[in-house]
Amino acid sequence: MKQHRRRRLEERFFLVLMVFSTVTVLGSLFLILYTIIRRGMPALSVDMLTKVPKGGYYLGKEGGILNAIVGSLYLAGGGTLIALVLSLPIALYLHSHARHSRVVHVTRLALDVLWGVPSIVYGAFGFIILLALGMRASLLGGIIALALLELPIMTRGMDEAIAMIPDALKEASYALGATHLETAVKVILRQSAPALLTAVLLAFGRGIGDAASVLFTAGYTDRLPDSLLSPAASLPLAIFFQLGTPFPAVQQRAYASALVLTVIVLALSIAARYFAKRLTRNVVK
Amino acid sequence: MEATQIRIQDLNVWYGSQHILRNINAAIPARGITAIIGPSGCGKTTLLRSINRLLEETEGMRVSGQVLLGGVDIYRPGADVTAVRTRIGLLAPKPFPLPMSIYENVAYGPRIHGWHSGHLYEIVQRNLEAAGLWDEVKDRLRTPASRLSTGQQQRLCLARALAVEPQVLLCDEPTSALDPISAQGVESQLQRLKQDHTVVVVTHILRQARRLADNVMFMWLGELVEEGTAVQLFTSPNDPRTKAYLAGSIG
Amino acid sequence: MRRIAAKLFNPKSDRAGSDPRRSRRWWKRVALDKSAHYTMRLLTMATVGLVPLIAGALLWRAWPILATHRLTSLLFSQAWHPLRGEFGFLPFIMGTLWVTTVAMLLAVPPSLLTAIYLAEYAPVRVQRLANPVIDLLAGIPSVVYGVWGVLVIVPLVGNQILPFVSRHLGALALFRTDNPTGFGVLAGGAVLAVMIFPLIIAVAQDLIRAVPQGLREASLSLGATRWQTVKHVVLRRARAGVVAAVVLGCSRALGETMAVLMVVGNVPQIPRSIFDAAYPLPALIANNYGEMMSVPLYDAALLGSALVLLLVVLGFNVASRLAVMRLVGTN
Ligand SMILES: Nc1ncnc2c1ncn2[C@@H]1O[C@H](COP(=O)(O)OP(=O)(O)OP(=O)(O)O)[C@@H](O)[C@H]1O
Ligand SMILES: [Mg+2]
Repeated sequence: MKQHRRRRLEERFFLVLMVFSTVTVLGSLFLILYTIIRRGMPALSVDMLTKVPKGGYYLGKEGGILNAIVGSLYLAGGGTLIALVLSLPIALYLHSHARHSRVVHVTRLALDVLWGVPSIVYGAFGFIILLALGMRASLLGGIIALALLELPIMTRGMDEAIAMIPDALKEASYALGATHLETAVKVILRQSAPALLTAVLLAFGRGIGDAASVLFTAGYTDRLPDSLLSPAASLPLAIFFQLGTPFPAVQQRAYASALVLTVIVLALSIAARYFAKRLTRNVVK
Repeated sequence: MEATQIRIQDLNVWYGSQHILRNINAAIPARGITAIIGPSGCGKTTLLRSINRLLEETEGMRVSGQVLLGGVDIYRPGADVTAVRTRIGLLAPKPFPLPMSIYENVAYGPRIHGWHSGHLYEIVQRNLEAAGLWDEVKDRLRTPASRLSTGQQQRLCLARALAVEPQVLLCDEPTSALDPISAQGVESQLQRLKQDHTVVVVTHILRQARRLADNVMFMWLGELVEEGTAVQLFTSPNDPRTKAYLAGSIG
Repeated sequence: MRRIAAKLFNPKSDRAGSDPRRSRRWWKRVALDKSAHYTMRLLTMATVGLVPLIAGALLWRAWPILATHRLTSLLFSQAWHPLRGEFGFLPFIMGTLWVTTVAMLLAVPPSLLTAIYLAEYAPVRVQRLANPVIDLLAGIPSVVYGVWGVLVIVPLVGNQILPFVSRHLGALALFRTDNPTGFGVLAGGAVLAVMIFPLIIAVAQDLIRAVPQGLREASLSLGATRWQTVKHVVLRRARAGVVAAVVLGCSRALGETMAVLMVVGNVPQIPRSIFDAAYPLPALIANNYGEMMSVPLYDAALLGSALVLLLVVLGFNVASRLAVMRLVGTN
């Protein structure tokens, strides 16, 4: 009987701990959102979103962070485009030509490992590439670094999306005499399109939020980027630099910029989830 | 026949809007073997799992009605589920050896109940013997249970279930994963166990039911159509559906 | 399915009775397929080669310092005077270890308990609510975590935790400090912990769910409580997976840059207490990008530390992935 009470108590104790942990984890998200909204809202203005920094912006004078918003969209957009061009064929390859071969395991392991490489390392690697090419920090440099960062995220996302397609469907296509390529494009691609979009959006979200990889490679400027070879500002770095100034007014703007970035990333994340849900409706069972 | 061990009263089970068990009323006598037969999907497994409250592990299952064990409802508010399951054991169709050694598998039940007063080894030996496995494993008690053959694993699961000294043993197609020889082994252990346990066996094999059963329950589309002694039900079934099933024309 | 079939084949060619194997169209399809195959394979191989390429490039640029300094002096010396040509990485390595250790201590218990709760206890409704929220948490950029750390964690540490702890536990060296700001190991570890919650929870939850239901039921039908079942059966079976999740979280923590950089204080010293400022490796690399080209060997030193970081993280990652693969293989 004593044993009985003891294990009931143990069960209770751990259940309470578990619920407490879950609430803590979920609560931390809400606390972050609350903090960013609460502190970012007051400094957010139309000017912030539509103007580039004027003289003395970092001392608290006029201007906005349009340079960073546009720069970030260019950087992440370019990086995502390159990553897409590379990862779609790889993901398809894993499920068509290379199916059942050892290559698949090795590639997945390599992608998982790349996925874990810290973004500062991608930044350093991008920096070395720039040095080797005799280039300076520029929009192109940032795009390359972000493409590398996004490549494993996107490819693994697509890989998993394609894996959800029933094997029978692919086999039916092969059985009709379709080649691997035809099956990949006409069956796999079509069936998994919404989920592939999910992978793209998630990768874009990671790219636009990453600071360490663009720190060395994209540089920073108060102007809008006008060519691939000129430096480009980015939102994460804008936040970082503004927060680093000693002026409270500028720090306020850092909070507002953080709010802008958070809204963009969360919107992407929610959109991605929406498309992922659509997949299950479209797949032929 | 002795007193009734388990009485099922107005038992209904829903899964979402699907009505899986309809108004089951039955009495399972103490000791002896009761066989539950019926076509696939008629609810045999569901009935069995509702008798030791394992059904509530499936999210979305709703149960109403009563299952009385020795006159006490196991679904009464405040009933201790673990006590119910200790008294009513369940043997699954597929063996699931726990991720530990052969010895630890059998010792698991007594341990979690805190009965380890020194003679754990004897408990393990006694129950492995009762399951007819002792001679095959006595020299390798410390090896992982997953190394045993499927037939041996199933007998290990039997020993494991017996080690918590249940009054009732529910067996869901206990031989369906086994070869004929192993199946025969399990059957003969069940024959021995019925001396002092109430054994309920779900089976697809009519000949197995004929060999083992003292009582038979026939189910059909979620209903309990007929119950009775084996002799009565097999020789002169009352319900036309039972007749048809036994003749092999339905199910 | 029939629609796809109709699109794949031109029914007219069949009606014409020609053998599709010999037609020009067939050759074209095969040639296209072959060339696509080679392109895809090339891309895939390039991706597989990317990890060695990155490591090689870092090694190449770090070579000047590896050639002029002994490895032991780089790794175990405290003297960090780039202008004098002294590059002792010990303070930064220790900073990384301190922050990562604190982060893991803070992150692992709640993450695992949450994963167990969501996989074993929570009703479906709660799971459907919690998991998307956790995914959102994973998507927040690290600078935003940094801002949050500066706004919430640092004041919390500096104004509440530090005074409280030093009043009651000040006798212990672990809690003694002359840095009253709140920027330091504890703040960095706390921000990191929140950042790696989602990763550990997601991986651990997946692998706990992969434990066959029959095992749980076997334990439950012996009269075990749910917690006993989790402790003795589920976690035992998913042990490798839980380790893998933790290791993965650890490798993420080791390499995280911006968020840590913003709250950790960045003083090149070996921390002695959880309230001391620290200077982890990634922060070192990120902070000194501007000046690193003007001082001789400085860039080689920083890229060398990036190499060290990469190798450590790779080691953790590969170990964890292999553990998961083994686990999934045996299930
Ligand atoms: N986990 C579940 N989820 C949904 N429906 C279920 C579940 N388990 C059982 N059912 C439904 O309950 C009904 C009865 O199932 P049950 O497994 O009890 O049948 P059975 O008589 O044991 O069949 P069999 O002889 O094939 O084992 C079936 O219609 C089945 O679809
Ligand atoms: Mg069944």
